Amino acid sequence: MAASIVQNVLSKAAEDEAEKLKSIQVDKVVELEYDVGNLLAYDINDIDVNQFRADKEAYLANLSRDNVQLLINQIFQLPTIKVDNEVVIKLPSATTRLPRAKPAPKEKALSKWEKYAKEKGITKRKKSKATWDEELQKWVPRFGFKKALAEKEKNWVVEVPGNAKDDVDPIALRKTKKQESVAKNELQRLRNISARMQKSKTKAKISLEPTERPTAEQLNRSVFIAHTATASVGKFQPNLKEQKPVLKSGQKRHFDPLVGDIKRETSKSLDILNKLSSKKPKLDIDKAVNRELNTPGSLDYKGKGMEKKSKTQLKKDLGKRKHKGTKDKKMSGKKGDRSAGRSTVKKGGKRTGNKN
Amino acid sequence: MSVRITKPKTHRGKRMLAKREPKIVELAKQALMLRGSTASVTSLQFVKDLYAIKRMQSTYFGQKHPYNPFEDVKPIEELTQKYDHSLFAFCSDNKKRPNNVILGRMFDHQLLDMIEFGVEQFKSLTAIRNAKVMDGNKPCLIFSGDVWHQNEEYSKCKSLLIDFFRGEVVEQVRLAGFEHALSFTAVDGKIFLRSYKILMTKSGTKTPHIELEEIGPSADLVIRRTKLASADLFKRACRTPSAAKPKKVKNMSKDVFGSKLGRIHMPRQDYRKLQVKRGRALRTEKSPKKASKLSKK
Repeated sequence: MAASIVQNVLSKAAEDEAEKLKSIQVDKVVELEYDVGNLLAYDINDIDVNQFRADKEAYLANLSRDNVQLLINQIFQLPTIKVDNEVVIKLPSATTRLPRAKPAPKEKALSKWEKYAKEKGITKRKKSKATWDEELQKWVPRFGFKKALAEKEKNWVVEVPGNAKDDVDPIALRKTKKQESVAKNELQRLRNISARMQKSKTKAKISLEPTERPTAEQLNRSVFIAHTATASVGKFQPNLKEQKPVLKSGQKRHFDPLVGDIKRETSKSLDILNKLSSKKPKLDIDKAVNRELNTPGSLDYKGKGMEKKSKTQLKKDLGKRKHKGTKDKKMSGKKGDRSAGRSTVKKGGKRTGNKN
Repeated sequence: MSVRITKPKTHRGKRMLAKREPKIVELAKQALMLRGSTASVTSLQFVKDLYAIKRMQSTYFGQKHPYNPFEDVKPIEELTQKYDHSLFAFCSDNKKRPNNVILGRMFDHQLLDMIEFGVEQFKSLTAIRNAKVMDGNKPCLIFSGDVWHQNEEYSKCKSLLIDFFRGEVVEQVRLAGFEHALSFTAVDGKIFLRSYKILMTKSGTKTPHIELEEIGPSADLVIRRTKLASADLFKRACRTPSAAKPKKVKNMSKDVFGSKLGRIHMPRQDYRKLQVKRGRALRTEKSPKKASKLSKK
């Protein structure tokens, strides 16, 4: 008796459960594809065309309901958390691959100063926004119009040294000095930008291999090469339909004027004569520099804890070493300077020695 | 990308430019809803309805734009660049192509792909009088029909529609946040767009029972002309930067009880730093300055 009651209760409970599940269950031949991160479901199952044509709206509504139910079933199985007294469902990341709006950001090339700072390990320190001015007895910002006002207030009078000329206007001088420093900053900024652009430009020029996104220059160059790759160097090559005239690229040969600088001409001819008559072997500086750089311990500064020299400096050093006997006008003229320059470079500081 | 030479003059301008710069993890795509100069009532209302659905991520320009995107897409590219949008919808109408709507997307402010639809049997959002869903709601997207993966054009169209309607990328959604469902059914050479409000009723289990109520817009779309991206351009556009990829978790595992186990590799220990009693011979020499100080004491 008792057993039957228990059985009854259990079977009823199971039936109830089944009934409840029925309202959320949907049968499909092929399971749907889900991308829960995008709240997306894709039903691959065939659509019953006859049924669809019989009653379009009802069929679509029914199909959509079933698919939304399936998607919601998937979503509600995900873990939930409580945020601000509200139960939220944590969605996984989306799986459908969609194109980006913009290409991924590229790393910006370092400016000259940034490069230097990185080499030397100089890091930016956080500075306070304002500094205490002893003279004015107040806080003055480091930059901005209030700083300019404070400067104006402070420097209302300019001391003129006794030996100054009469026609020197110290206030105007100060102004030009400031303008110059601003201009210098701007110049350096532009130089950095141009260096950045030059870098990308040279890269584009070198490679004519197929790339994913050739630049206009690359394309133009390859069109030019293709155009001129005929027996008549493109003379009889007709243009394609809607083709713009091919821009000539590559280096142009420059010839010296036939009449003019006689001095230069004589020195040039003498140079050639010297080279021919001298018994010393011809020196290919580029080659020598590369060899020096690649063989360890070949030059005295290597391996002694000194800094690596730049290629141009090396060239100069090498040129000096082997050209001592030759009559190189330029080099012999600056002999003294260069030896001084060399010593300063070794210290790893500024290369000021060369600038005379 | 071209290098910007002039500096922004104001701080605000600087911020705006920074906002437009490409990001590793992008924000939701913004859509530009454009009215063509020849737009019919139906096609215009369709675009307006798209704007209503996507109000949070779109801008509507109701001027008459005399463009023809399939002949010259440049003015649209320029507009999307100017307003920093990457999706667009454009409506027009003529005898050959009545009730025309173009949906498209950009990559790097250049056209990636666009598809032209003819709008038939259109029922507007306002034509159906009932309560709508909240603004900015992330819709559930339902695609049905096997054409979506069999046909190249349809599969690209599916990708475009997902991109257009998916809204913001979110990590978590309220239980009651599933309000809106957009259904795209491809059958009989048409795409049946239906928009429903999701009504959740108790089912006795954790998962609710779903009922749908049509709210509009609803339309039967016919694909007309298409301009799809080349495979390599599309691939390049889909590339995720390495910084955005999730980092691999190494040497971590979980056992059957759910506790976290990790394997760590120790570097060689520095015995000099070990706190032990050292004999006099083992002690490090003090610096001469300190030593002299000590001796003075």
